[in-house]
Amino acid sequence: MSLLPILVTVWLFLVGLYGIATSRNTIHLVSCLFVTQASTYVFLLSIGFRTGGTAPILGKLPPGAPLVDPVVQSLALTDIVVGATVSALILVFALQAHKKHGTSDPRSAPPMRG
Amino acid sequence: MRMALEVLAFVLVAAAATGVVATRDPLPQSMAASLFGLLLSVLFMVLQAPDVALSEIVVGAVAYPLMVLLTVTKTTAKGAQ
Amino acid sequence: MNDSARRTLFFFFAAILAGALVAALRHLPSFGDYQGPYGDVILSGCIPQRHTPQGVAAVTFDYRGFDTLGEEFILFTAVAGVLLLLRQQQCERQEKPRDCELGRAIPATSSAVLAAGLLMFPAALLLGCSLVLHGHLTPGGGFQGGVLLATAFYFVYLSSDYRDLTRFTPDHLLDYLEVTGATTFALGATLPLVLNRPFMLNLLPLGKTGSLFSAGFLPLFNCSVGVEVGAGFLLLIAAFLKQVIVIRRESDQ
Repeated sequence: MSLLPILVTVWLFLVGLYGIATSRNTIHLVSCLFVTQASTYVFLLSIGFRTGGTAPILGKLPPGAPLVDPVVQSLALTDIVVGATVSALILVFALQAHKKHGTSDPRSAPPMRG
Repeated sequence: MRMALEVLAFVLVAAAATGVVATRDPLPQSMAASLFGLLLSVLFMVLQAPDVALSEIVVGAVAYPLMVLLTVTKTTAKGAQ
Repeated sequence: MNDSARRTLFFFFAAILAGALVAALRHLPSFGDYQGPYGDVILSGCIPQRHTPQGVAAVTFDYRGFDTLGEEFILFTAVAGVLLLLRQQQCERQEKPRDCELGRAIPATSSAVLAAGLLMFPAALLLGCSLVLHGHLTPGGGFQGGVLLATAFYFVYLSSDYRDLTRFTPDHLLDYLEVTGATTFALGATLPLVLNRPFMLNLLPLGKTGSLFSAGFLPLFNCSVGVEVGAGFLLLIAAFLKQVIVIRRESDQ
């Protein structure tokens, strides 16, 4: 059990990278990036987890009850939303490349000039 | 019981990620990504992170697939060019 | 490079990377046994110091608010980049709004979809507002609530059409809202500097723990981020939707 979160993290990272390396469609490639990105959230949250702990919202909890770490959660929650807008920006690049070259294949489009 | 739930959530996320990458057509892939986002938010719920789960549900299951869907329509539908 | 060579090369380096990653991560504290003291310090301090029971919001908007300010401007820049790239090009023109099919006929809006949209729009809007406003008390906050607020408006599109959506969400208003949200956060954070106090110091009264107006700057920052993220996502999706529905290449027809 102790190794499972690490294995899942590494799996998400590598399976996303595999998709990126073998992709024949830029939109498919962005979704693979979405998977790779998710590996960091899984990693952060499984680091900060405590067995038997509850969410870090104090309220009516008895003092001394085990709580999971709030810092990693704060890191992950902002990054999910900000990462989505950055993914949108990459999708727009894919869209513009398609408009310009009429293809979504990252290998057949000529390299872009600035 | 609790541990079985954790193992199940982790395994489902790994399986869904494989599904997202293996779906080569971006249109069905956007739905696979949506399911992946949903399963990730279940995992975050199991890991006692409600804030992150909410974030993942609105972004991963709704907003991101919507943007992919619109990009696919623009690039493949004949009338949209 | 052909496909199989590419795969072989990838698997070779991926195996090395996977081995290195697992070997490095294996020595971390085992799952469920986190010992880091930083979170505990914050959790023991956030009620006496900041009058909020929400540990995550206290980290996001107060203790590490500086990072969130940076993240917020990444979001702002990404949205600006999308809008810049998706503006109407010289070789394009705007047409009458028309939905596009993907290999099938577009069904007319059924009364079931209309009823669901009418029910869900106010419900989603209300839930989004509640998530933003109670961000310092319960799970939720500006980031999550903002995205939910933005997606709520797409029930209008689903149950009616594009013209009604643009009437509900005029672009210039969203531009103002996004900028207002971003600047409120930035100005609120720098205001203490003007008064010769540390950056992002809570200037507002802390109030009673658990009430809506408590925790100083926290609810204000939550609302400003909520407004910015909501307006930003509406602008983002509207830009994509405009590409599909209105903008066409000049050479067509």
